Amino acid sequence: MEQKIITGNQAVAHAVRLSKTQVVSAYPITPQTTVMETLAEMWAAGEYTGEYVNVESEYTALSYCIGAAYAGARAFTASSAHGLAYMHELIHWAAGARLPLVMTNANRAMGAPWCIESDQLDSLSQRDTGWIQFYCANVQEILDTVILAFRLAEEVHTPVMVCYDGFYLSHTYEAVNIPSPEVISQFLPNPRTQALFDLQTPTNHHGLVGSEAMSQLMQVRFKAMARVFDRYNLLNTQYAGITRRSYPAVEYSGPENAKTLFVTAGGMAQTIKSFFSSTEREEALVRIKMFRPFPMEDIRRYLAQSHVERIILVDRNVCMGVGGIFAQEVRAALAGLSGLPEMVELNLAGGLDLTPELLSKALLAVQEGEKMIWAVNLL
Amino acid sequence: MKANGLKEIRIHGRGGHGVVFAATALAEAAYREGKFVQAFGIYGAERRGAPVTAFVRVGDRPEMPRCQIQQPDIVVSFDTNLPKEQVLKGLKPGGMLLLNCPDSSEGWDLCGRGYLVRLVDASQIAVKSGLGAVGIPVINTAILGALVQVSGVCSLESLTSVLQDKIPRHMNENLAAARGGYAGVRELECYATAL
Repeated sequence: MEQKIITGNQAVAHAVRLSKTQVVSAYPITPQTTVMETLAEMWAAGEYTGEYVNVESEYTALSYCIGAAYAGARAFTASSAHGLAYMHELIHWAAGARLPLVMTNANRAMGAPWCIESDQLDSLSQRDTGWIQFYCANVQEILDTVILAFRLAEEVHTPVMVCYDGFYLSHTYEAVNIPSPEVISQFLPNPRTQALFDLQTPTNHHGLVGSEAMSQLMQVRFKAMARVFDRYNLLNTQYAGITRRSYPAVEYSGPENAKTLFVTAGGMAQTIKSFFSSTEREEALVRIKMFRPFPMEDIRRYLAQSHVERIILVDRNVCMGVGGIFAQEVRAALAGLSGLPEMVELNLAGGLDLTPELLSKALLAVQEGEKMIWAVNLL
Repeated sequence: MKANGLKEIRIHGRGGHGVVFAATALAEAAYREGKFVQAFGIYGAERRGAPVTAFVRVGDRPEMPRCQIQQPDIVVSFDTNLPKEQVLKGLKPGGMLLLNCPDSSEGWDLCGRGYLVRLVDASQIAVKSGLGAVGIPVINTAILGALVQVSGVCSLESLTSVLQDKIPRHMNENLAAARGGYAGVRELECYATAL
């Protein structure tokens, strides 16, 4: 193990290298670009030994990875915002084909107008594609989650998207423990070396089916997704056993009987936590790491408690006509339960920066009874 | 200094100045002395000459906010042509400004505001050290030396050890610039009339 000061994007590259990935292909887009730049440097230095495939678009990047995964290779791509949106059709295809791909997404706002700030609408718009989705809160967690993602994807035959805030994580330098390849090989099996396809005996995959076959396949995928919770918890425990680092699907921090809970995802959690510790506040934080499948039971266990009086849902994204997307999911998870606490939304759509100063102002707005607080109005 | 011994530093410069490098080198140097650190930069469209801001947090505890620094303990400005209002935004009385300029504050009118103002002629130190030329000096290592001196987040030795690991060429010139910056910090003299 070595400890280094690296960025979130560099952490991704280290994880891809340590996972003995066989094929990487991506197209540059801010703030993802330095993932692929770092991998290119690693390739040039002989540290990353898989294929590095340059392509002319994100559509082709994911197509190439899909082809590689069909053949049984461990493959990886990365993107952000418009690049991710351009992949959309193939994102569906990869999940339908049960390919164990791993992709990282450095969250960035969707235009128009052009904006590179860290709104999460890009990956949240891919919510219904059938990929497992994680949201990370620090640079170390990005590295560890990508490694976990390869094992999880290959065990449940479902692709995994690892998301993290553009700039606030993609470009932030922090101290990171980089495990040795030997440690990772205790956790992640070597990739397959024999291709699944044999050119001498050609086969055809995923041709045209009727609605009945399609419905059956979708039920199989649905059930596979339901197994992800247990599988992830098991893998997380196993990974913690060798690295001493654990990332529950939903993380609770703060006093056990807090009356007010903040709920959020991604790097904003760290600002909220440090705000509590510097102001000696009584609130607690619930951070949602796993977004698909959505950990409804954990959400109910932490949020639907009699001592909880108020929930403040902090979203850096918005679904027009509804509200914050994590907020929407939390409300759905709690639907039908009686005696629910008051729910307030704090919305930072557009990639606004959540600062301690903004949190103080938001808490005043909550006291005044506002239910949908637009952070931009508090600046 | 804030809760948990947290020190927050904001650095203003332009694309091509090496602002983000300066932030990460300082963080790495403090990290080598056992501190918890975080460093990052923000930029719009990345291009030479556009304003760039970078942030460094150094503390005794791992818990740190993950956001831009609104109320810095120290602000650094790579030159006096940057928008003054943005550079000084959120700087409170008792806070410190480190400004790269030759001798006076070049019309920035910094007296009587309650800041501690430190000047360093990083451009001249850089040219004397052999980094760039008059008009296009490479100033980030000279400013880093000065920043280590005024911030106290690490020793000059830790900084030079980081530079030795990170800089691919012109090593001796950069080390000379860092030492020159460290030794070349001056206080802004405010005359009675200006106060």
